[in-house]
Parts: sequence; C-alpha cells; structure tokens
Amino acid sequence: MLFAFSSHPFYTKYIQLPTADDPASPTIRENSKLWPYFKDALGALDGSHIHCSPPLNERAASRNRKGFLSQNCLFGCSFELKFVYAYTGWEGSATDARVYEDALLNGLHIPEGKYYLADAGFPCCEELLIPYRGRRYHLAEWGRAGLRYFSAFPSF
Amino acid sequence: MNKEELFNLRHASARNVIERIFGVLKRRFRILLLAPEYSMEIQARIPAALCAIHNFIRTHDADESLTEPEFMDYTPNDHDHNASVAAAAEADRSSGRRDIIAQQMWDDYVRICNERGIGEDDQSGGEYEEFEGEEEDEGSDI
Repeated sequence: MLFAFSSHPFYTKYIQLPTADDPASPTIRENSKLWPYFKDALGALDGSHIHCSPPLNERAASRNRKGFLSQNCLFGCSFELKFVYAYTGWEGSATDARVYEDALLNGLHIPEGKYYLADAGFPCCEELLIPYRGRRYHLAEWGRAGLRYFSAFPSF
Repeated sequence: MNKEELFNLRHASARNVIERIFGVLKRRFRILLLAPEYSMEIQARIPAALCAIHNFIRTHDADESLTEPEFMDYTPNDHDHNASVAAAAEADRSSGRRDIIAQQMWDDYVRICNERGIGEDDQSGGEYEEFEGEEEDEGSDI
C-alpha cells in the first residue's frame, strides 16, 4: 500500500506541480493585503523535520539542530492547502538550503517568472521569495550541510 | 514600521499556509510523530505517501474544510519578529523583485493611511487590522 500511494499513478495524480499557465491562486487574489503583490507566487516551500530511526551508523548525521533524529523533508504547497511537491529522505542535519538545491535536480521545476514563498533559511534567488533578513537569522545552520542522503524521491 | 517590515509581515502571512498544512498533516497522520523502525527507504516514502493521501482527501471530501483552522492573519512569533526588526539593518544581497514588491506595498499602504487620515507611525503593530473589509478601494487594478 505504501508504495501504491507514493508512486505513479496515485502519487502523480494527486501531487502535481503548478505550471506557468495556471491562474493565480484565488486565496491570494481575494486578499487585498496580498494581491497583486504576490500574483506570481505559486505557493510556499519549507522543510519539515520528521522523526526517523536510522541504522546506527547513520545516527550522527540524522541528528538535527533540535537534538532529535529526523529526516529533513522539503514540501511545497499551494495556497489552497494542497501539497504540490515532496522531497523526503535527507538526513536531519542537512539544511533547508541544501535540500532545496538537491530538490531542483529531482523534479522541483519552477517556471520562469514564478516563485515560491520561503523563509530566510533558503537562498535568495529568482525562484524563491524570502523575507528581508539580518545577519543572525538562521546563520548557525549554514556551515553544516549534509553530505549524504538516504534515498531520492520522488522516483518518477 | 518601514517597507521591509511591512513586506515581511505580509510575506509571513501568505507563507503561513505551509505551517498550516504541516499542522493538518501531522494531526491527521500521527505516524509522522513516531519513528517507525522500517528501512530508511520505507521511512522516506511515508511522508510522501501521506501528502498524496492528504490531497486525495482535500479533493474528494467537501466537508474537510470544517476540520481545519480558519485562514487567519498571521501573528509574528519571536523568530519572525527578529527577522523583521533586523530588516532595518539589512545587509544581505537584495533581490530586485523583492524590493519592487516591497515598494509597491509600501506606497499603497501610505496612500491608504493618508486617505483615512492615519499616520503610518500611529498604529505600531496594529497596521494589519485596518485593511480588513476594505478590499474595494485597494489597488487591485494591476
């Protein structure tokens, strides 16, 4: 069952990246504080630490900065509260920025001119819109990028 | 309040959707709070499968919206507040698009404050509410 839900055709039917032609989100359009400023935003992107129990030799790498063993998963969602992307399996010590860089090589396609909202732990680039930040924000994370990953996903 | 802080507040408000979806996912699927002792490949597949099931439910269950919190205005926590305070001393690479959006927001904000005879410094922390229910006269003509 697990494989059925995380593979084609179920997974690919229900989790789809938006394209450049999709109309702007009604949630954004109907909110005068957000429209038209975020008219090209496709959704939001963030990492989430999910508890895991890795084999002994991978435990050190899986320990995240909060001290528990986790996999760092990158998720994208639309403003209508649906997932549009999931990339799982990175060890907990990997930063969001590191996982994002790898996700771009693993199915995360962001059409030109469009972007996702992300927090200050992500790189400042054309495909992401991040808040203004000061020097101390999330800086402690930057030196500790993960070196390995468990599995590449999605696998289509 | 300056344009960077206004931008950060609204950015956080829109970006908050990802925090909400994480909350829904973790409440709905308690397995995500455990660490099941399967192989790492299986463990990596679990969150992805649950995301697909979440979308399936969202697509097919019309009542689902009853179980989730309302879309609320974002209340900044310390984490974000630090980022927004630090905005004044911004020193990182700037993004041209971000500056354009921030300036556009700020210009509209100042204009609306002036139209209502409110100084933009008069309502520290409260600037967010005064936009409520005033969709019509906003600049949504772009």
